[in-house]
Amino acid sequence: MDALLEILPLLIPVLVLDAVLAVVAALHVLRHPHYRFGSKVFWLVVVVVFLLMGPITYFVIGRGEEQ
Amino acid sequence: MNGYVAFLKKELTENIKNYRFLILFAVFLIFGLTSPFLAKFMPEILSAVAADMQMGSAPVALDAWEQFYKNISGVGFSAFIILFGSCMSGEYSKGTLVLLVTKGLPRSAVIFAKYTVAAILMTVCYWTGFLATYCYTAYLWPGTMLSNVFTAAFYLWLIGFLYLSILLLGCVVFKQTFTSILFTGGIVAIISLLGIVEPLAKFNPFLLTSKNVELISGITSVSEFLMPTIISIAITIIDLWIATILFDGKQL
Repeated sequence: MDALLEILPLLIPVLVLDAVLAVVAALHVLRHPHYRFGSKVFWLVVVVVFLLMGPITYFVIGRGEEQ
Repeated sequence: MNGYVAFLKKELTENIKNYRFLILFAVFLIFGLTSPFLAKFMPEILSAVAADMQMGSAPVALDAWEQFYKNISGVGFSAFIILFGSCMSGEYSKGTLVLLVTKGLPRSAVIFAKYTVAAILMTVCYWTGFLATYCYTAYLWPGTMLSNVFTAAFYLWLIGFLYLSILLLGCVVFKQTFTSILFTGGIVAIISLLGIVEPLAKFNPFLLTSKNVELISGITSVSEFLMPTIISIAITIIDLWIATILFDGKQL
């Protein structure tokens, strides 16, 4: 287990990336209230809870057309 | 040429603004970072979860590259094809190309600009992921010298160009995103199935994605990659050529 704690700093860039994606996607969800399906709350939860996959799913299939 | 450059700039801006670039960059970088990490610590993670599990040999630097090639050639390129599958269908459904083409933008410029942008994004994302794996592997396995690391990565990069050209052809032929992606997936599946047919396997571009790790470990030599490389580039050019011809006769 000690070894795992030792290498944890190596994972920081990955976590930062995940966080950036989650924030960008969350902002997009709030600013563009049109979705192909689902609601604002649904997408906020998806984007924040499911790291990496959440934001990707939102941008690929959840985002509505630009108005 | 002017039309091409202008359309290219528009496409680049569009891909940055609609988050395609951000997503792909993040996907490739995350795979690049986690591949060596998972290869190195999977045995420890597993033993922490199930203490009585028997471990095989200790992970080596080659395992990291094996992870990298598996992830990038599988999930990485799939993400690329899925995201770029809508590159033409959106234009068809909104009719946004009609105006540009009637105002004198050559139809071939549309195809080439779309392809160039996809290729640029693919190149940036791919080599960023590669660099991440390279640095982490060097850090986690200090002192390990592997040969042909760059050459092996170069071949997978070439396959990326081939996939994109097939995708663009699919986008020109079919009006819907889903059909274009299906078309690309089908062709890629046929190419990989042909990789099993023994007399053809030597020439099949599929070799460029399947033998990278063997190249690094020294089982295969660079010369084996020569014919598939030439054929892969040839198919890429032919794909683009057919795409321009078909697009010329297409109703927008």
